[in-house]
Amino acid sequence: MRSKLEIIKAQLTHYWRLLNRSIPPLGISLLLHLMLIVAVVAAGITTFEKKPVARTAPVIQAHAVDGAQLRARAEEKRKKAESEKRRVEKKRKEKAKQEKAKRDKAKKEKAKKQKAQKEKAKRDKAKKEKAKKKKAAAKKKRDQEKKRKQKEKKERDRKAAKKKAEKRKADARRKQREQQMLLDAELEMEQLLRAGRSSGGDMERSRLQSKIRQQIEQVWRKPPGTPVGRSCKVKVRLLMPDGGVGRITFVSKSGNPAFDLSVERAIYEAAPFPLPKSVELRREIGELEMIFVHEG
Amino acid sequence: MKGNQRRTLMLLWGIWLLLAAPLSHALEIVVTQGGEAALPIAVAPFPGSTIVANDLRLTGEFAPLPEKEMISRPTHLDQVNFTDWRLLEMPTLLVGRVVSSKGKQVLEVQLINVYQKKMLVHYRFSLGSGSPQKIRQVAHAISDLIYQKLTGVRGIFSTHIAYVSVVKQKDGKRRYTLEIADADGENVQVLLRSTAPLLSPNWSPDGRQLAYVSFESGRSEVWVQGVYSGKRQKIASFKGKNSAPAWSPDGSQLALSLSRDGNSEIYLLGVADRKLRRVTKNRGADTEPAWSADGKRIAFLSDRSGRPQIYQIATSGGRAERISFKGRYNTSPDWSPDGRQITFLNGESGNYRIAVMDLESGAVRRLSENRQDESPSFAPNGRLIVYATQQNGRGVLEISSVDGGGVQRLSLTGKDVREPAWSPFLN
Repeated sequence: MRSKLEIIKAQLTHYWRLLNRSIPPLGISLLLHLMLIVAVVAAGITTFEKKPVARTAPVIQAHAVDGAQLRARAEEKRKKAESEKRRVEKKRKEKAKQEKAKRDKAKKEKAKKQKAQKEKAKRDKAKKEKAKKKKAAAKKKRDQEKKRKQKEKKERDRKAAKKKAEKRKADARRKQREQQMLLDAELEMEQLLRAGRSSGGDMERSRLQSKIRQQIEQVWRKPPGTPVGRSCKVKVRLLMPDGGVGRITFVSKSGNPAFDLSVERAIYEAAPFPLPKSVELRREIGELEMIFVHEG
Repeated sequence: MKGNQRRTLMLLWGIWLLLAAPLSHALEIVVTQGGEAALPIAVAPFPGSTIVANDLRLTGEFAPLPEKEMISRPTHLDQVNFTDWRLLEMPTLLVGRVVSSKGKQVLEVQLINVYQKKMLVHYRFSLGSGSPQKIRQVAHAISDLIYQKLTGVRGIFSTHIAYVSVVKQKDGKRRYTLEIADADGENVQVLLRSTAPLLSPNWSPDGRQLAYVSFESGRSEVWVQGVYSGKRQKIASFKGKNSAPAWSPDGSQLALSLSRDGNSEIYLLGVADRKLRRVTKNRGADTEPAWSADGKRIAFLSDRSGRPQIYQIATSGGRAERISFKGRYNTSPDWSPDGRQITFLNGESGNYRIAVMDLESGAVRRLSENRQDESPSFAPNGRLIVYATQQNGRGVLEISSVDGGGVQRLSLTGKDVREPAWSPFLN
């Protein structure tokens, strides 16, 4: 139990530092802590009720290890985590590629089917009797097609959800590992880490900004004759594992619906957008703010 | 034990994520560069849908999806499979169906935003007799509303274009007809047939009358004819040349070019009282008057500088001011409805092309790449210009977007047409 309190204390100081870094107003920060403590107590009670707590938490062992070893271990873990991340990313890309191929194929097949149906319709005109029968058949086929589509969609959705859940689990596990590592580390090391990460974050931020901007500018087609200075502002919610676009909300419209539609179209067609590598930044860009201006 | 602790940590981490997320600053992206292109729109089949799609295409601001490329053909919002239209990269979709309402056939159309999966607007139109004529009329009305909804500018699809058509008969003689067509070049109606040349049709501001020049008596005279009544009367038959009638915005006067005093000058003729007043006084020839929308000024063509150039003058008289400077040949002015621009014919090294001048800045932009254009005329919403041009030795009509959205040719199949004039709004 003593060890647990220690952990919680360490965590609290850690959160305090993190919160200080993200500069929330003091009130929010205090509220956060209050909620946090309530949550901790609640969690502690449930844990306690279930079973008497054993005395040997694995975290304690970390205190015995000296600084150098620790650093080496932390480095090794970080490397491991990175290679794991790379592997997952690669897998995701491959999957996306396969899915795109599948989608393209489906589109082509659909078009083909359509053509065949049209030709059929032409022949049908000649014989009314036949046409009736064929119409019924076509309807049945359409229904079947619809059912099949629905089924496929369900399957797709289920798979996507499963994938999402798995990814979430993996993310959580990884985050926990990082958390433990942080808890064990000495103050100096953490400061070092923090300094390195925040400057890297700024760089990644601007890199992402220009990358997303380029992606959109490649597909944005304004209506011909758009007057110079016409603009609108949107908020774009990103879908997390793949950087797709969820909902677009207009903060301010241009006054020309065709212009606003060209903006919506550009964002959806430019997606998916690259996601940042760092966890903090990834959390931060769950929503993008975009301003579209016609500069002539 | 280990599991419990892990769970606690996860819980804490989760709560922190949840609370910290709203505090973060969104990444801001400013987009300023992009191409220009007509906005894609899908018009799913319904009675008159091909007319609507063609209308929208004519503006150069919309690119309707060809029907054969559609994956599905919904007629109502409930039937729309949004994935289909996302796949085709269509931001907007127009669907329509005919329903019976109190014994009447009603066409119900819905404009849908594909991304937001919601209806932007819907309209209902009585189909009346359901004749092709009525369906065409309804289709144009739909185009007008959709265009206005998407651009904020009034549509011109229910307006008309007047022009002169020339047919060479087997005996070698020419027959001239004064005709009007819908803005898409369809639904042609003949107003007058003549064996003598007809020229310069010009609409009255209420769209109910046309003034034009006829040579039926062997010399030029100006006539006025009711578009719907067919009644016609001679209004100017002065000594010498009677030409280039242009109705004032209030409909009370006609600006004309007359040579009754020896030299071609601009005059104003009262439509009711037939009172004549001379506006220009100059040794050069002045003709082709065009009114500004406020009726205070007239742009016209003059060769007073030795070359044909465009000038403007107050209708009350006074000094004329030259407004065209680029090039050695600038003629056929027509004033935009907002008064800010003038379209005209610009001749340079043997090519005669339609151009638009911004009056404030003096900037000139050419709209066509043809060689023999003539007679530009603004649409009443100021977004399009109709003009005649030559194709394989015969006259055809083209419509060009003022903003450079491209050029569309009107069908008017197999005819030799010239001198187009776009009507005002008709309702």
